[in-house]
Amino acid sequence: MYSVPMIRKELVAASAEPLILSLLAKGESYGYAIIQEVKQRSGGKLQWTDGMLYPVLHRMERRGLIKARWGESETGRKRKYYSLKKDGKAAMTKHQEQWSLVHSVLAGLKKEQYV
Amino acid sequence: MFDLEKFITEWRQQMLAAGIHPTALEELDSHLREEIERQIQMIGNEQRAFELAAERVGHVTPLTAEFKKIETGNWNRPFAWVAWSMFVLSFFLPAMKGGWGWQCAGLSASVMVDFWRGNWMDIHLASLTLANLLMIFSPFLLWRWSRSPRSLRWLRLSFFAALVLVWSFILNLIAHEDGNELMVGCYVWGFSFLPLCLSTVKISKTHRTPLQHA
Repeated sequence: MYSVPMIRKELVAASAEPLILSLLAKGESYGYAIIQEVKQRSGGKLQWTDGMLYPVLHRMERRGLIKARWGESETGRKRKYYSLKKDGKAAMTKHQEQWSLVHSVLAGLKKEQYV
Repeated sequence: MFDLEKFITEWRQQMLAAGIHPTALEELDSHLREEIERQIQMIGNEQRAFELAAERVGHVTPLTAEFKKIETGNWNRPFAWVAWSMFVLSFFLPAMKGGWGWQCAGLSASVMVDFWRGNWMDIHLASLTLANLLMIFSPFLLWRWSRSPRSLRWLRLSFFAALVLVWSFILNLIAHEDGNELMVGCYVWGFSFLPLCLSTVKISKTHRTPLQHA
């Protein structure tokens, strides 16, 4: 059976920020949940080294794209929740436009190949 | 018998020893525990669950390296320290005939006090104290505010304004034939604001998102 190969590291890295921003646009979330959702939505093809997500989140926080607050899980464990800021929404729109452009170019080229 | 808490404590100590900030460690700890719980539900073995979860969190060396990159901010440290050193040095050099750098700085500060008392004369000289204060606190300001592009832009603008202010003062003195009164300390002081401006321009390197280690 044909299976989609694991996504290249470079693409994983480049897509991290737009994915995080788009996930947070749905509402606040925390590191573990972000990783699980990305994994689930990509059918396990988009694999991150879990710990490496946090420097990305912290960098985005420093850049003013997202904000964080400490909260508690249902079991009382400390959790850091992230949510989108105004600049983050603008950055997300920009990312989405750029990725859509790349997608439309690729889709157009692919269509031509089958004509 | 496998003691999960003992292994987690050891893992935490390893992370702290490598230089992971305690706040970041709390987040990683929370992540590790959630992953352990998930693994236990899947495989039932606590020790194996811990090993798999720790592996998923990642090795301490690349993690520490990525966190360190964020802490350094976006300022150009060599330029900032050259600026600060030149500025401090200028205090101990003759700045004008009959006046050391620190005396001129003191004069500017005293004029500023007069300015606050309602004496609007010599506003240009008084405003140099603001430029000097900006320079004195520049390492702290850069360390604290250079991480966000927006605040870095404000810092860049402020440093540039200080440079313009300082050099308009020096050139004004030269133009009004006090130029031959100026001595080396004044020029060292004036030129120290140039590397200060450059300290907000980080030589760009290809940015690698840490997830690339995945």
